[in-house]
Amino acid sequence: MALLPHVGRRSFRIRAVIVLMYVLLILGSITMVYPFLLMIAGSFAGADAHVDGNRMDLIPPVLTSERVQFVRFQEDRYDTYDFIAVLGSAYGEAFTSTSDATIPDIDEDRVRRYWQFLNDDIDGFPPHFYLVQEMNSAGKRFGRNFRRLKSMHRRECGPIEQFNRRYGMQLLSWNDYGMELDRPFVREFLHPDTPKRDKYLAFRASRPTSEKVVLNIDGLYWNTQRRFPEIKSGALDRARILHERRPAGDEAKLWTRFVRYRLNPMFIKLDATGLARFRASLASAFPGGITEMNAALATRYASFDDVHLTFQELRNAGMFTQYNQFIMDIWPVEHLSVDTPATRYRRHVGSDSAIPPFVASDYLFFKQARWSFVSECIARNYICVASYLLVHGRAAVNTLIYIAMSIIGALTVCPLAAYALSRFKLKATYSILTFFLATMAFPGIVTMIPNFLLLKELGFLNTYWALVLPGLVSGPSVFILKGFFDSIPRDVYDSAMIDGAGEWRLFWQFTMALSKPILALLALGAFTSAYTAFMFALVICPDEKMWTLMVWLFQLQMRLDQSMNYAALIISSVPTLLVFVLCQRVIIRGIVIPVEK
Amino acid sequence: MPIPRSNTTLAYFVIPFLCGWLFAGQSAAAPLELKLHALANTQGDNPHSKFNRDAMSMFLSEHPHFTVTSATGMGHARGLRMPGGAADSVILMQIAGGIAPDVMPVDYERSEQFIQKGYLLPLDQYVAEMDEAELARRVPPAVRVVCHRRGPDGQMHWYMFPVETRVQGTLLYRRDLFARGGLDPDKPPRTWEQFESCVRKLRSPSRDPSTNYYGFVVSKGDASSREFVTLLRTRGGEILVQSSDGRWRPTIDTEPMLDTLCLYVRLTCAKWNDKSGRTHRGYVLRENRQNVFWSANIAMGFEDMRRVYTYSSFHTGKVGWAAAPYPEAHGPGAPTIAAQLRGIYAGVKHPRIARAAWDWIVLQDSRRVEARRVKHFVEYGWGKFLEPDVLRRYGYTRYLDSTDQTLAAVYADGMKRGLPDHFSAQSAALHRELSKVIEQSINDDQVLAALDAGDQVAVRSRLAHLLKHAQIDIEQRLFGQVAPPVQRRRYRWTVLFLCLMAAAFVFTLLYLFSVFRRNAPPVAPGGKRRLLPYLLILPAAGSVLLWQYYPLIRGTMIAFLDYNVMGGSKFVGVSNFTEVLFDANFWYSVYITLVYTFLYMLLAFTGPIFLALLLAEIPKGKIFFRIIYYLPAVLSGLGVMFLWKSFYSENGPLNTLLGHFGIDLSVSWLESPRLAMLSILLPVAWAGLGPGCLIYLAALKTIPDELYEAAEIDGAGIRRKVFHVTLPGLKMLVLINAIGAFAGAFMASEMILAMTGGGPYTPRGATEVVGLQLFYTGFLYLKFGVANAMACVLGFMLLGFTLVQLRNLSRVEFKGGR
Repeated sequence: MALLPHVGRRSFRIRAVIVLMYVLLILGSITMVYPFLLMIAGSFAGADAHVDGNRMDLIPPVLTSERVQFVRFQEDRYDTYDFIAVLGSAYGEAFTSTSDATIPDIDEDRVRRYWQFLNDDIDGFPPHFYLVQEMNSAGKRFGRNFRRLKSMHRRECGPIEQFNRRYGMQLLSWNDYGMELDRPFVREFLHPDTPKRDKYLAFRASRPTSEKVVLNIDGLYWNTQRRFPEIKSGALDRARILHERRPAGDEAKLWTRFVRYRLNPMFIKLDATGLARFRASLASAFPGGITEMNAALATRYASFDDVHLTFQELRNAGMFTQYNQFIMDIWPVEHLSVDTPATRYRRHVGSDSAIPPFVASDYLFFKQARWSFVSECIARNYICVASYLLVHGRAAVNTLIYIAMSIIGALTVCPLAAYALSRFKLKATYSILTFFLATMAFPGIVTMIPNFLLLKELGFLNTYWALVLPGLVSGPSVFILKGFFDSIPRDVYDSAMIDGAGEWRLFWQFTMALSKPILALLALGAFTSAYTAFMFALVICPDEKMWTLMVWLFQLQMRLDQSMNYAALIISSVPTLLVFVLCQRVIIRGIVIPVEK
Repeated sequence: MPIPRSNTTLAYFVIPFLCGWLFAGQSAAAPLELKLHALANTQGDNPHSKFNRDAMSMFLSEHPHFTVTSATGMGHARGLRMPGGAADSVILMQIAGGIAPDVMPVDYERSEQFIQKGYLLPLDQYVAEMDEAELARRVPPAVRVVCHRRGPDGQMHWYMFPVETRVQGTLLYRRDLFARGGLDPDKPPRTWEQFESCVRKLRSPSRDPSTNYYGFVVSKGDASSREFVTLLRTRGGEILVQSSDGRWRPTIDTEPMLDTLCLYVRLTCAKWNDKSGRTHRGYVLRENRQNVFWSANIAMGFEDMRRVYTYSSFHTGKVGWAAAPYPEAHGPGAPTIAAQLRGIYAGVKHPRIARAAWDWIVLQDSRRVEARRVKHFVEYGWGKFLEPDVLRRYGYTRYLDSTDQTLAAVYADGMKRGLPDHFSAQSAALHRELSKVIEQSINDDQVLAALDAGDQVAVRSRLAHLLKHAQIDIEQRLFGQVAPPVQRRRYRWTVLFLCLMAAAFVFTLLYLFSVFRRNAPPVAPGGKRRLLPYLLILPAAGSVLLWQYYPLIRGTMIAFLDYNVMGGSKFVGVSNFTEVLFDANFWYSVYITLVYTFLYMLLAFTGPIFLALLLAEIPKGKIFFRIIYYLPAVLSGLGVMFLWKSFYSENGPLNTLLGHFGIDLSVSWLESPRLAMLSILLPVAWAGLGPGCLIYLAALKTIPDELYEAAEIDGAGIRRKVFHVTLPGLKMLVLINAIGAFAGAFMASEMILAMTGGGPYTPRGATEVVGLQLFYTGFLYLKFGVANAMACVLGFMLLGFTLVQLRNLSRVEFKGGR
């Protein structure tokens, strides 16, 4: 407050100047804070650019807009292979993005009736009738159920090697753990018959009804049909319902085309005659009889009559392919029926034209779990980044060791040299100082390649030494420290020496103790450079075991979408922020200013 | 205050250092370990993962004494990634460090350097074991010319082997977007004419600005040549031809090149208006991100076609695939074939490892593995995505009807007629140069004016003019044949320059010495020991000697070598320096650097001083504002860059904000030649404001209040106080900081690499500062010698500043703030 006059502070001009200064500072502050707010808001966003990704909102819409919340709920619920089509089918509309999802009109009674049906029947649903929500694992963004499944496996197996042995996998770490997505609308999709998949199916079945996402095959039927020109006229609006059996009239053609060539055959049921014909087709495909079939398909049937086409039997890829081909080629239309959640619902309510209120039911489930879902939206990116870093437990240890070594190095080697230069009468003092300072004349870039080669020749690559040693001493900081030590009154040393203090005590008890702030600043500098280094750290320590947090985050950043990157940035800036806020007084006191002698 | 006893203190120091040694010891390797550059994805239940697991198990069961690791310890899902050109430096650094993977990926552009520098083990003995038919199957002629090459010994050797062969630049298109744009999804464009009209129709079909649909996607910046070259080849053009003496010559100034460039300019720059009347330029999206095709609404893109095409969107019939469009009117062009090549690192530690590496390479494309792949595919219901002849071979004939015959035809045609992708030593540089020409063309005012006027003839003649100049320029610079007398003259100048440089360095050192001696204060009494002080200085001095002086000397020596990290570097005299000093691009980048430095001083250097003045004067809230302004510093530099990059995008918040004031830029700032430099500096200045002001704040406090009071009594106003009291008080600090900042800005490169990579190019990089050029020279072109020579020249340029700086430092003492 030295520039502003002391007299007349209350005058209008001075006040105006002060106000102007505040205005400038506040405007500046806004440019400082605004990007951070954008970043925080962005870190709550969902996956790649759907409803709230890649937008620039100051207030995250997921906190305020019910529609955005609901769309993200739907994104998570239907997140599976080709999920936009699957979500669209629930609405019976062809979606181009999840943002097409809307909040439906609610007929609560209808939904309650539907829920009653689910309560009664859902345990009998085969797995391909439904998805389980929040099983997403795309882009390393894990939903709650995925996390549950993963931690179940981790509890069961412990180290990853155990998991690899038990399930025949070759994962390098738990970060590689993933689960194949369901592809319910793909004709060829089946749940492979592997122990890992067994576990997954059991987990799915154990989730509560509200988390099971029943598929709308009627919607798929309708969306498939309307791609054809003859349907566009609207004349065949009845194709909104996929009937159990082939309907009469011109709709028959649509039904046949869909069921025969498009629908996953898991949804097709054969009656006794149909089954017999399938067995016969198997017998003709394998003229060597049941032994030949067992050998070819890796099955263990005693006779063809044991083939019942249960869900479990159809998890055998060979059997599934046989069945698939049978439907396409033989097409025993009189003896097959479609079995979907909707057909079961229509049976349940006893109406041929009832359509289950899929979306309305989704919405009511959403209403029940709204705020817990919103908090999941906020936390998810952070949880994923944090768990990613935690799995790489060495990252934290490496970073700590690296930082500790840097700080200790900065607080010993340079001060010792500076102390010697400051305290002792040496002929060479100024030669030595020149020796230290002249390093400033080198462009650092010249030494980059030779430095790397030197690290290699010393065998330091992939060790902490490679990280710490090259930057341990900087000439200018020896110079500055020496200058600072010079300002300590000589009498301090003299009287201490009279008291019989040794050189070590002089160094520690007096020189270092009296220079705490500047040392703190040096330590802080060492912390910052060790904490933020990534490029050179990666080059000289290419081994994953030696990576620090920043290198991991940097790697993570290269392949994540924006919102998760924001979360990673925020997490990584917490330590530096804390250090600054806690130490800022020390920092300010430690700053030294060059003054002309 | 409590003071720790010395022996415990010692323990604090010793323990972590011991720990360092201990942990360092852990990286001991198993005796027989095959190191791959990356491991394939094995995590899923899908056929790819299953097949990868099978291949790995197969290899391990046949090589029971081996373990397989990857050079970066990472699997496919965790591939090592780096921005821009830095990605390429990883493997080079690994080679330099002798820790390269045994099985190395070799890209076409760098293959010549890899071979000539001896990074690759000749594979002749292994290839000789393979029977001819199998060899012919695996290595089509277009790949063979790339793998079987003349080595440094002048003999032909096998250096690489393909693991997968692809047809480059085939046309992948979105059937759904075709339908949306009113085009027939079953009729992809076959000719350039159809292609152009498709691209136009598919760009926001309803002309509705809110629907951002693009007809086509092309790369930008120094990757601009990618799609361009594909088109060029369909027109029968080349960027390089090999003359009878085996030398490669650039062919920039040719008719096919001109035709292609005309098409390219029309696609990227033609003006059109949307429904709301806003003007847009170009029908294509220019974006380098991989997989952009799938995430944005882009109707067509060039993709490499692999033998096993399992793009997931095939399952829903969402995409179609066709050959790239040809300009029917002219003679037949050809598709391009590029193989994924693997070589064995010449520094492989054991012959058995080399053998295992070879086994691994040949396993990849073997029939045994193919059989597993086909089995997994068919079992998973993906039979129809396989090639018809593969299905036939393994007896899965029932899927033949459902396979997509067009795909197989495109692939087979590519294999039959395809030409090899460029693999000469200059092709990397030439691609970059071509990219610059392209960037220049689409940013050229005359071209754009003629295009807007609809004057195709003028567009063509202007482009022809640009190409002609580029041809001459490139011939001189990249393929430069300088006449011997000129060369001799240049050598003489270089030697003179070097003498000057050496003299300057020596003078500096002597001068420094004398300055420090002159300014030496009386030495403090007290210390009489002789050995101890030197013992205390030894660690620091040794460290500086080892990590700064020694590398400096070594780096200077490298500047006189044609440096090869595998050993056998040749002494080449001053020619590296000649190359630097007589390169116009170098001097242009020096100019760019000066611009950058000037702007840096203007924005980033003065900002903190101003902020400190404000913060010192306000009566309340100092600490609050101090923290606020420090906020950006808690992000790492990379974080700042990432954040601002998203702000600068075409539809980003900055353009939105300006839009509110009626300023419509509708460009991404980093791609605009005018704004790019400013865009790099804004975040730098932004992030440096808070941390930078701290030292000035501290310094302001050291100016005694009495001075101000005296000035006030003399009737000085605020302005006079600033100029007569404050600034003189800060003089030394400002001076020292200014020189430091100048030197720092002069050498800046990392941030610019992350932001623009030196572009946009018109044709010279608008932001290619000299530090970046140095990085490219070293790590992109592997010219360590030239890079070090460049660094020496830069050091020389900054010498004057350094001198002043050091003299200043000798005259100051450092005081703590309050």
